[in-house]
Amino acid sequence: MTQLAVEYFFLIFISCCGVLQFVAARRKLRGLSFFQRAISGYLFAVLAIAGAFCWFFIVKNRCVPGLEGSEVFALFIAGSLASFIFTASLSSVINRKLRLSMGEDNPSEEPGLDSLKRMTYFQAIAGHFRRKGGEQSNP
Amino acid sequence: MPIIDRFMRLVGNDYFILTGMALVVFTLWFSGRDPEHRERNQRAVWCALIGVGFACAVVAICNAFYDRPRPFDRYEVELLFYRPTDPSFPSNTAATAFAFASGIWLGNRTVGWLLLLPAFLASFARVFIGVHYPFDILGGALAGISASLGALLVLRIFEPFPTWVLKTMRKLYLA
Repeated sequence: MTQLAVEYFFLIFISCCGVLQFVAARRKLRGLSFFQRAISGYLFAVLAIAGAFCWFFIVKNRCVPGLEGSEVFALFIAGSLASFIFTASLSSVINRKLRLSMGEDNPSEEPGLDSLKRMTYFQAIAGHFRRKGGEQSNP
Repeated sequence: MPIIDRFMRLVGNDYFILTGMALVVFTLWFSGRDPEHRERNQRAVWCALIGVGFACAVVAICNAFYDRPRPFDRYEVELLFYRPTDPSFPSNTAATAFAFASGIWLGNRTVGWLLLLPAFLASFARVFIGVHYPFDILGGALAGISASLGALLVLRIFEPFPTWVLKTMRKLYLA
């Protein structure tokens, strides 16, 4: 059962990495993307999701008793969170030369996922805490 | 036919359809034409997730009070699956799948209709492979749909807490 749990975690982790690259390519979230071109993001997404599902469901027989519903739910949450952390970290390293625009050029702009069109996740978070620190020192 | 049996074993197993639906829900969290549309999608995702939690609770309560034997316990059936040991009514898979689909449908009709298709397919497959009666599926589907409606009600009652959570997640660039 432990092996099944580990394998399910990796299914979710790899699939969610694919989903995040699909979303980054579709919504032009440059700061979350591993690739310069959108087509590479789509290709990665298809390969990651299809590959993970084929590996999990075709290579081994999954019609066996295994994980409880709550365990599946917890593994899904853990896998998707891990994939977001991995994607945010790797894309922040790959795109570290993206210009930090928000917070310096347009401090009144609404934060959110759209900010990742112009900066990486780490830049966005660093900008957020810098602004917060500035607000506290200048009330 | 062996190929249909294999297909039904795949879509009727405990992970395939539900994991696929959860991935669609995960995608929906990040999707939307503009921030307002995305926020609507994210509220639908909350509704679906809470609905799934409620649906599982409803199934657990039903199982505690009514232990209906599986079809393979009563009849000679060609079982294409392992022998689950929990009660047959209501179907947990149907409850979860319909909670996902109806929870999303309440916020995004297009994706909600699309998710109903795998929910029906998984439910049909569970009967085909011999682990449920059709009435178990009906009970599960009703449990899932009513759980999502309950989740929507809870989200409205606890307003502005859901809005605050979304706003905080947006500040952390997670929404």
